Amino acid sequence: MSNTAQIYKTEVNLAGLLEVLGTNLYSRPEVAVRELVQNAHDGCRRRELDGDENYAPQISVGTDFGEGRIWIEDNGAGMSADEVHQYLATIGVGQTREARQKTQDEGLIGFFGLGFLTAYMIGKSVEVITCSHKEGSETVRFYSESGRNYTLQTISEQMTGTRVSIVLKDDLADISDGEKLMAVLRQYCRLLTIPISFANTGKPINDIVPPWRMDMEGWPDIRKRKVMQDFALSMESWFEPIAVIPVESDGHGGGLLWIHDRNTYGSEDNRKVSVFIRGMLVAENERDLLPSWAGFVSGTYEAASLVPTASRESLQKTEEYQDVQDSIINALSSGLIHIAQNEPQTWNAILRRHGQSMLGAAIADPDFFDAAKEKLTLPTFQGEQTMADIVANSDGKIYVGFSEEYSADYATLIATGQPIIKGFQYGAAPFAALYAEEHGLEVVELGTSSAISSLFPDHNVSEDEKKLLEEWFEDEHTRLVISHFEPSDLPVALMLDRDAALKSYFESEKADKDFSQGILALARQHTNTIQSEKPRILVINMAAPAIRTLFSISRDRANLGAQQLKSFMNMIAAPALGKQSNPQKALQDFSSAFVELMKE
Amino acid sequence: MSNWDWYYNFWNELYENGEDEIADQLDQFFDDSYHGNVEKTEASYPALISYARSRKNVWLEILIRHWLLQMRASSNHKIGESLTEALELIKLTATEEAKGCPQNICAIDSLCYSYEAFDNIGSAEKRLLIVDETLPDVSPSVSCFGCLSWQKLGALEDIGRHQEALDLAKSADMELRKHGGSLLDESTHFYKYYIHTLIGNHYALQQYDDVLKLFKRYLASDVVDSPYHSTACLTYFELGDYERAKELLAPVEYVLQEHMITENWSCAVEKLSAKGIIPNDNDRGHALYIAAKDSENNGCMRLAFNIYHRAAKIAVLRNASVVAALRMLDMQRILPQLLEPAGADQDVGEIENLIGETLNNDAQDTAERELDTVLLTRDAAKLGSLLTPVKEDSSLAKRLLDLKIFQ
Repeated sequence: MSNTAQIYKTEVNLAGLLEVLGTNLYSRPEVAVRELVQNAHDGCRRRELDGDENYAPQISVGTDFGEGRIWIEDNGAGMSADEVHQYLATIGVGQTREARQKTQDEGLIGFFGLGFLTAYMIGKSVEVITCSHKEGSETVRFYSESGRNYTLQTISEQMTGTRVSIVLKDDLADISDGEKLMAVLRQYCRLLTIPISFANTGKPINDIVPPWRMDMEGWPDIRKRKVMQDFALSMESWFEPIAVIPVESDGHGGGLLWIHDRNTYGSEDNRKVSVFIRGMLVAENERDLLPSWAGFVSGTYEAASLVPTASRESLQKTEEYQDVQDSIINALSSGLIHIAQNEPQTWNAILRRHGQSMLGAAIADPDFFDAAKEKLTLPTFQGEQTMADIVANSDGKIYVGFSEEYSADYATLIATGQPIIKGFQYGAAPFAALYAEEHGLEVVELGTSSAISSLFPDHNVSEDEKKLLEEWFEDEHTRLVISHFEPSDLPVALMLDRDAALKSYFESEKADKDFSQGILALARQHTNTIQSEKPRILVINMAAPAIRTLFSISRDRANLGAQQLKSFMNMIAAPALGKQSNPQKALQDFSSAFVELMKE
Repeated sequence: MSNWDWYYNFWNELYENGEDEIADQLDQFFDDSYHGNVEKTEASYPALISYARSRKNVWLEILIRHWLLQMRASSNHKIGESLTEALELIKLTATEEAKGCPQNICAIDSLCYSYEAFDNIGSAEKRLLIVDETLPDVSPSVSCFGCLSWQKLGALEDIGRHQEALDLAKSADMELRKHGGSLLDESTHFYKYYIHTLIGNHYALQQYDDVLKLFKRYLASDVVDSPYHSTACLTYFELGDYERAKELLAPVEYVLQEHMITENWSCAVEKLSAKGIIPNDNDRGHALYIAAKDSENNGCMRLAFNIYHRAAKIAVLRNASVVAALRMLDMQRILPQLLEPAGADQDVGEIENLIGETLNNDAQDTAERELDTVLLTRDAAKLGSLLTPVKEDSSLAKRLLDLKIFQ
């Protein structure tokens, strides 16, 4: 080899490149139909751009199942022999891209000059008959098998436009099944503006006009809604739409969102957005355009500004993508609020199906929270209620329960008609917390020490009374709280002190056996800060006649009465106390006290 | 059986029993937790824990509670509640029903992680002891090995044993590689946290080339204002590339929104402000203040203390002695809540001295001017409530009162 640098030409293995592009660029062979229809569409558009006023563009697609052949024909700009060499036979050179650069036209779809490759992906042979619309043009026939080489000849057929005819590979012959081809065309091309018909039946493919292309000014709301709902129904294959929300754009497209008519649970995620660029489906499920909380929403969006990837099966995450994302989120938030304010029946139907998800949405999106906070309902033990109702029906605090099993604090609230939010349902507790923070309200979590001090405030009694109460009710595991509360029919309430229970456990010999020194050191550093030692709290209700009576009868009978009350409470509180309870002993105590009391 | 093997078996059983809804919710919950979707994780948790308890499935309960705690610790969210929760979780692992549960080690991980978020330096020695007691019994073939190794790395970093941390990272990685894994495997749960920890240790050892090498390889392609970029921001600062440092500093709004307030982010705000690369003004001070307040409200006490400290330092630098005094009171409020002072008391003394020096220089004018500035830029009623403790609690307050600032 020479010491001076030599220039060599890079070789391209065309066959290999075609194979790689054809096999790996596109996800499934049916995409070829879309690419070829798109070329036909752009051919028509180029002819329109050349200014023929009487020109009526038309595309037809046909199939011959017996021969395993499909064809796509347009009456567009067509190509001269030179243009066939330049564009059709050169990979990566796009006639449409060049036209777009020249004209800045937004009606053109093609980008990369790769679409025609897909013909080789599905075809054993490809024939293109084409004639340019420019005066004096000749019709030429291009023919190739696998794209490695091709023939080109002038023929006598009179036409304007292009007809691409493909004999399908044996394993892909089912694409020429008429019904299947029709379904593929409807999936990809139904929003194209140039009429496309299915040649075998004469049926139009794209007979649907999306609402954002309609001039609905002056229409009554109900008619607008009907049109949008019909469109949503035609686009949705899984869920019927219960409500529709239009998405405005800056004049280069638009979209429609719809809410699923199906019950969902909080974190269920059925988001789906199909994205069309200039009428052609590019991304079937661009769910990230919707916010993550919108699991109950689907939609369709059309935009000229979005940029597809080379396979044109998904979108590049450009700034425009972000803009579209923002406008969809805004439309969804404001659309839901509009429904809440103006369509009460629909709103109630949405709440019934997606109430939990909407709470999640409000937690995740501050704007939506601001707009919806008074409209959403929360699950309470007394049924669904708005936050305003919950606050109005309580003593100014917001009570949240995290267990389905009632403890004494639940009973107190329920007996006095105060709502308890079911904190164990999706989104309820964080939503209540946000609402409380904004309104300067206190959230009380039932079963905690703050709930105990909130619901059972300390009540002063005489030293003698206190001494007696301690004698009757206190023990090594139980701390007394002397209070005065409603309902007075509840004489005592027994609850677990979570902090004290934790302290008692980590300071026990059992913990010494269960855990390593490191864990115990960290745990005890924490439990040393806990003052309370006894894991159970017994609240005495001085407003209860049952308690007052104990002070007015003989000591012996009072002792037995107190034993009955305490054991009765131990029995009913057993589920909430878990391992801190001994229902068997409570039953024995209750029974023996009862027997003694019945004696003369 | 590994924890995930157990979970996937259980998940399949749910589907076979027609409980696909709960199976999907569980998947979504772990996904939300892993991605730090704080609101969604918190929203899903009560329903799922209620499900696990109603089925008396303690193993599932441990898994769910562990992932809630992981999300909270990684997002510095509700850490105060997490301490009790982590201890109750540990207690649950000692019950008969939890015997043999592959998630029991996860509970130890959660305990360490929650304490790290509460007070990283104050808990470091004990966390190290816990990991040293646990790690030798864990095979590198299970994911717990990676998690606990990372816990140890963090503890060593907090104690200041940076080279030891880096050596451990290397040896743990070699062990994992023998079993087909790696600390730097981008498909694992926490690889970015590992990188962050490695970068932190290299930075502390002033190995700036290593910081930037890791940063460029693993983090630089992230969104520009990721809080993970703070250490790189500090490194560029140390290397004198102030423009690049400025580019990498995340705005406070983003940091709050993403629940990603970090020591290094606040340190970068302090250093860049002090050097005048970003303006040292009320806005910067306020950014640190709300970051500290958010950390304090979420129970991240050491982080909150340190950010108040930094806010006080830059306030002193711009002669805002009143603001500095308020931040010092914030520090004093938090000090007794830290697990160990670990120098925090000296930090308070440092600020008090700095303020004293500022006041001695044209004290009355400076203090009054600063109070006016604060009053102009903040809600006056709120300010009043902030100032109240100054009257009662501090020797500085007495000096300020002598100047009739708060009367």
